[in-house]
Amino acid sequence: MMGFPERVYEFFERVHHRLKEQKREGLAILWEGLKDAIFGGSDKAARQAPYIRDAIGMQRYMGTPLIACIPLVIAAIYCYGWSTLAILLVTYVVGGIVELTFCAIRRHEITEGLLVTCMLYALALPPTLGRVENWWIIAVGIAVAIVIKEIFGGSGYNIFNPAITGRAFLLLTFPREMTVYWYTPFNPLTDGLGGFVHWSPETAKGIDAIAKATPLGAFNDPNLPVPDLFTLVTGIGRADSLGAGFPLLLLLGGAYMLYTRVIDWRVSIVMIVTTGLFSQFLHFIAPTRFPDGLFAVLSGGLLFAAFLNATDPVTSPMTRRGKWIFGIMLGVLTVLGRGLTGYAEWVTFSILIGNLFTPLLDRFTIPKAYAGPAISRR
Amino acid sequence: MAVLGSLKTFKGGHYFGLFEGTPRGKRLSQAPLPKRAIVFLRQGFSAEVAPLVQVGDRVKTGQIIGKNDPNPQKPSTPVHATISGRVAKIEKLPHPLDGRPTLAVTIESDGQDAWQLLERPTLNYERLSAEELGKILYDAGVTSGGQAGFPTAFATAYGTPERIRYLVINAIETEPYFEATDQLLYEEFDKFVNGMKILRQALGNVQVHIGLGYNKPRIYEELITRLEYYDWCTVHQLLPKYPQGDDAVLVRTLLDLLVPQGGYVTDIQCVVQDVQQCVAAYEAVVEGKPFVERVISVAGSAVKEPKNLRVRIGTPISELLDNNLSAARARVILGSVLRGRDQQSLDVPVLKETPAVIALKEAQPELMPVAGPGFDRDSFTGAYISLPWLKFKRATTSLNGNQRACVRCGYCLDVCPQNLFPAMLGEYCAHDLVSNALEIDLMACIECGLCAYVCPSKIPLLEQIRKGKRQALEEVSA
Repeated sequence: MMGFPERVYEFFERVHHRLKEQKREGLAILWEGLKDAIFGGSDKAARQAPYIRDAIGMQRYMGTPLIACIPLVIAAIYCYGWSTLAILLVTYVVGGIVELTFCAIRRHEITEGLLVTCMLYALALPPTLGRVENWWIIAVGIAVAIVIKEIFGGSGYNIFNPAITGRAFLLLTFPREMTVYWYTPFNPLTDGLGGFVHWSPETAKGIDAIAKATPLGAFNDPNLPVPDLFTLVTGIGRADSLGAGFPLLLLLGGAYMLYTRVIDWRVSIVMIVTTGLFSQFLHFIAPTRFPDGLFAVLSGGLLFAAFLNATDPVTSPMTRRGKWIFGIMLGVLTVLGRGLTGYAEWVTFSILIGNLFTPLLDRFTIPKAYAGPAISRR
Repeated sequence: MAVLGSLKTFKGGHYFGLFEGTPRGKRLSQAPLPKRAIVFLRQGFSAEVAPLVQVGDRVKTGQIIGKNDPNPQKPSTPVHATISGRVAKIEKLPHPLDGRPTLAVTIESDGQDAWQLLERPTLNYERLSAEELGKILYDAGVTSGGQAGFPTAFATAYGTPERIRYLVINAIETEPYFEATDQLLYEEFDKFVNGMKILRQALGNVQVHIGLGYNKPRIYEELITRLEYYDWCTVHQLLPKYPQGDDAVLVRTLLDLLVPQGGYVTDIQCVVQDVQQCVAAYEAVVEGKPFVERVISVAGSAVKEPKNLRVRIGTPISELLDNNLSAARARVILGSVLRGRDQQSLDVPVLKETPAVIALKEAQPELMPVAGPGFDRDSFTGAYISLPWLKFKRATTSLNGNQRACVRCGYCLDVCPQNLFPAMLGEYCAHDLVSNALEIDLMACIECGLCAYVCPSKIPLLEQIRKGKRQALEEVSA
């Protein structure tokens, strides 16, 4: 007597077999991907020892950052209206199409990392890209990100964090759209249901909703007032990227990911602490160029990137010492880049540079085995 | 006796939950005598020995049926008939743990169980010299009851105080399903303590260090009471983290000594013995019984009634599992679920070095298995809510995930008890770059299997590393 899951499984197997018979390899790969997504590998049996395997699989592993992002998405929808969802949808659709095309043509399996890549890419975009005339920019960015990932061989082989690649591409190609226009978010203290009943702040309030700069941009511009600590911490009235403006929610998500061991504190916490301390140190020397430590940590995309982008397992070191060095390096580069260059959002570039060093860091920090020198028996 | 109050442990490792079908706390029971016994002439670490019997011979329980001349270069241990009866077959069979063809003697039982005991068993073992004890242990075929199957006599052959400094007693069992040895510790505590004294004496009165799980306070109290006046003994309490019971990890945790790469604990003047070995040593010296019966857990999610049994070595596992399997499709594993080997046929026998026979439910397709909260799942990560008060964790042969490229999450580095880089080792070994793997300490791997266990990409790291080690050893011997 076969249960329901077994019958569904058999159906999938039969169709897969038919596709193989008809030599439709690309379709077969996609069908297999759908089957894997539904059955989560529960059908695959261990052929060699160990015969019991950890319950963690790539689906759950990659699902954890998505769970950590759920509060951010809800907050972003509230603050910036349903255009947020449009940004996410465009990202997922275009990213999905590009990735699936690659998988079908190159005959490699569809991997779960795509879901995280798209989420992180979308949440790091300015909310003004939700305007219909800007959707194509979103599409270009994610397409470039996925293509560059696939050029290196797909998930697991990419040397740059794909979400950051896409963002860096947009920063350099569309600097106006990426850095000049921001929305003042709906304010939960005054705006009631806010973004839950509006398309975007612009459709609700018109020109009033356009903000001049993010907190970091305001710090770099002597003509703009720097937001106070309350705004920075709570994100109320803080103009910023979709998911980057909510430090409390980011800490919550980060804590969850740290608890589940999906990210390592040696990268995330070390990067945050380094940024804070180093910026505070330079603040004593050049207070106009470098903000104090707390501001440096809370402003810009630092928390977002430290918890979600820098900790991307594929592009960060595996060894414990490597992770320390990586975290410190990212913190230092971020502070220096923010203070000394024109770009406010230097986290992006410091992560790209850090990614470049990852293989090298792994190579030079291989742990020493707990074993004496080798002896020969003969 | 020196008592160390603090808990000791090591870096890495994993606390396994209790998997379904674990016979925890079940008292040892006597398995019925098998109708036939298949005794392999190569046991554990030992070399294959030459048979001393022919087809048709009548043998008694405990009679030596295979033996090599003692040779320190090629240590071997005599092999005994484990039931009385007639030798039915002597043939080459694939060894259940490594598949290499090995001579095996099949004995058909006559139902008498007539014993041939060792000569002159004595309660006054304290009067015997180290050499005499070593001879008895050799004749009794006492070997380690764990995966390595290390012959005690080989260790004791070194048995002069200049060569061996420490006797380490492994009284901690951290592998999933290995409950029988713990049970033996509870039920045969006297034999264990005396056996420990015998082994110590056979090694030339060395220092003894006992590694005991901290979850056994009763045993700890009793050990302290019994051994209070001996200054040669130290009891250490250890956290029950896998693979604390591994020789190299145990010696490192207790004594801070590092086993050389590709070497054994004897290379650093230590001997590690387990509970089964202590009891076997006692039974050999005091009762004159050769090591023909061991304790074994019959366990696993596909087993109807998990048990801890005293079983004759050579009992076919079909006699243990018949009418006891609950699932139509079950995977039967001899030894550990982490480093053992699955068996296609149930005709393979219980070996000296297999503390368990495990039958796991075969993987079944499930709809969206990762969507649930995972109350009953065991994971190194916190991604599943593994409720600690739920007694049993789910155990099937499912990979619990699809095979993917390495995402470099680093879990294998976090769990590795030897502080290795398993992902890189596996990558090198899979591509036959053994010399590169040797540079990053391939031979320090103890093959505990944790890296492959925790891998979210389900990469068969243990298999890759084992292959690399085999290649490396072949290159050395070539």
